[in-house]
Amino acid sequence: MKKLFAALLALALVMTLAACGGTNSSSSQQTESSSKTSQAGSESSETASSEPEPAAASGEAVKVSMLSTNGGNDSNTELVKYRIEEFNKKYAGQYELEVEWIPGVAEDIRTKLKMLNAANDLPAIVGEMGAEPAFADLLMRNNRLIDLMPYFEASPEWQETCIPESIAYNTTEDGKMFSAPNTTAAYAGMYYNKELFAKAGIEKFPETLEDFWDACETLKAAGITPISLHTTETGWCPMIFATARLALTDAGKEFSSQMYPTNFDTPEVRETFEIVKRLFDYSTADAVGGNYALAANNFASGNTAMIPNGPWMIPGLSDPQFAPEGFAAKVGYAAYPDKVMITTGGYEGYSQGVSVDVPKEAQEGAVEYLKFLATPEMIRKSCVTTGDISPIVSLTEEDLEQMDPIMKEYSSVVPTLAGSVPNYQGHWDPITQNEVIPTELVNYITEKITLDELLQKMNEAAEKYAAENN
Amino acid sequence: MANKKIKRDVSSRVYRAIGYVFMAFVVLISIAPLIWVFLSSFKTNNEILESAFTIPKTPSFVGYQIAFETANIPMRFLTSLLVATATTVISLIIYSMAAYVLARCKFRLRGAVFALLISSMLIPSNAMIQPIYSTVQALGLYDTKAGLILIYTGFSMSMCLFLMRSFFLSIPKELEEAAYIEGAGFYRTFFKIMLPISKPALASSAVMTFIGAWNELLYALLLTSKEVNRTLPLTMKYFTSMFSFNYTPMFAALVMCIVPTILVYVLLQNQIMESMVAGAMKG
Repeated sequence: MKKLFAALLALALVMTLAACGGTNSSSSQQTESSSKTSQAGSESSETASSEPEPAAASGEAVKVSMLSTNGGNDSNTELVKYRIEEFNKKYAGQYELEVEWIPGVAEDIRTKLKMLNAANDLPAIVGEMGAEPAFADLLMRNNRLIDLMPYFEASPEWQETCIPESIAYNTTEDGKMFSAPNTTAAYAGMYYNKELFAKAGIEKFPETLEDFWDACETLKAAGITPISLHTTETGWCPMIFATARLALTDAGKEFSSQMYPTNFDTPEVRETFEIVKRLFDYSTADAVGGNYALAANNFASGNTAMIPNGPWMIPGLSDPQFAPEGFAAKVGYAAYPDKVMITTGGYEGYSQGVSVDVPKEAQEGAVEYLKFLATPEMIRKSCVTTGDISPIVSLTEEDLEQMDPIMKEYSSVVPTLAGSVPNYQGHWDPITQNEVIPTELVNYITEKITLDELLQKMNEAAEKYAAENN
Repeated sequence: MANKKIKRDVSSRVYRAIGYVFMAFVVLISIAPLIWVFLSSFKTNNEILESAFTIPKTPSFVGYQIAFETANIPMRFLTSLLVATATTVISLIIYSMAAYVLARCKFRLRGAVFALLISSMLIPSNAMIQPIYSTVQALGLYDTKAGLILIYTGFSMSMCLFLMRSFFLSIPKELEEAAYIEGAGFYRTFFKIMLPISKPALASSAVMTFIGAWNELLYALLLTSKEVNRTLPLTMKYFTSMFSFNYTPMFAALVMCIVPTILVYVLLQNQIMESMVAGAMKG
């Protein structure tokens, strides 16, 4: 009886585990509507867990694994899906992208990439490196990415469409290239509600900073809250407005080009944070301590007249879930006062690399994908869908017709800029961004600490990061 | 004399009233978030962000519709149910036996073994990501439900052992001695006498394990890649990204996610309360 009971118990446990395991082979039966590409890379990651082996032994298309986010309503998800479909169509039978769709934000992808990296099990295409250059540096220092330079040098078409500054940025001192150069850059400027501006008697978007403060006063006097801001997510909206002004001086440009600056106590950065503080005088009560969603909602509800952000916000302005019908028609797009903007990606920043953990064929497939992204067709699609700007590839009349009116306005603003600087998130160290700014920015705005104290804390964090990584 | 009685009555009513106020407060802070999530699932994004604590102006099921369109919620629900149920069953079987041995059998280093096993609750779950991934990968269980079940069963160990061992210790030894005198062996005593008595401890362990496995997010994200193995809590992540948000379907998905855990708790609440009381007497 005892033995029988023990045997049955053991059998039950084995059956349970067996029934729940081994689903890798049945992935084709899954019902996820978002595609066969979502039958993500577990198969490929399993093959890659030890020594890379030949990927296409049976003459099937080589599987090229990658991770991508699949959350929210930003235009980037739509673009990524389009690129994957087109690549799989073009290389049918040769390569097949297998995408693991990660619901959530880029940070979730990086968490997973870090885990896979530690297990020598990175997917073929390693993306999302731009927003956390420290992680990209770690991968490069430890030879976790292949050198793309031989492929890049062998492909004049690829070279032609890449931004020269990005080629230089992504080429190491010894002539290697671990991250593909960018072909486009996105700029972030200011959305403004034309109807509210008109109601306050303001005819056009202010051109200088003094005009901007005057416009804020005018809007305030008319009972309109001038600007949507927030302090979480590294204070993105106020910070991009203020840091863009670094493009106006040589010293500011030099500071902005530094990777992981350790001294924030400079006249330019002081001015930046003084502007940040003053901006909050013209924002909503929920801005201090608030997040991006609150700020965006305030703008889309017509509670505020402006919000600083990039073109990825454009689709949301016509989405009934986020803005009332017809709201997009009231929105205009402008550069910040004195014709400056910030850039994301583009000139200085990492993009995507190819992992050493996958078989040679998969690495080649991944390189093909990176080259595919640099084709004029894909660049134009990226410009039309997400508002990326290519300094090399021109848009056709047909492309312009497809563009959202706000996107068109945005595209017409960028060529008139007096200057731009790279996005601070891609240059400042992660400790300053993730540990100091989230709390101390609020303390500074609410005058619990002085600017000196804020800058000192930022310097200490930056030095700590430098010490940990040198 | 009558005055004293009146005074006593008044003070007892006052104490009772204070007790009710306190209980009402506890109930309010426990239920308010649930009601808020439920009401928010019928509001627009704008209503949620502008007037968080109001009744929906025009209640709408759009959030539920979008949630269903965005993710395969029925399949994820079944996956979560399977993973959480299997984790609970396996945990109860293994840890009830282990807890009984740790409570009743005398062997060398018994205390040290128990301390070692329950000390796993002190390790932050983020610190275990890498070793767990490597182990799961080596076992060929990456991107399988079995992998998740194995990990969640491990996570529930310390809590189950602690609860059940405490309960076994609270049962008088005379009961087992009587069973042995009547001719029952070790196994029969455990399965026929001790386990039925331990229903409250089993129920609270089951609820805790089920809820833990049902709600877990990090490892479900890291150890699965196919839709067929993704659990329900991951659905919430579909509705936020760096520069976009859609709270209405997120709250709708959240409602669908929390209902089963509430049901499990409601069904087993009597046993849980008994177990908590028994566990509190002897630890």
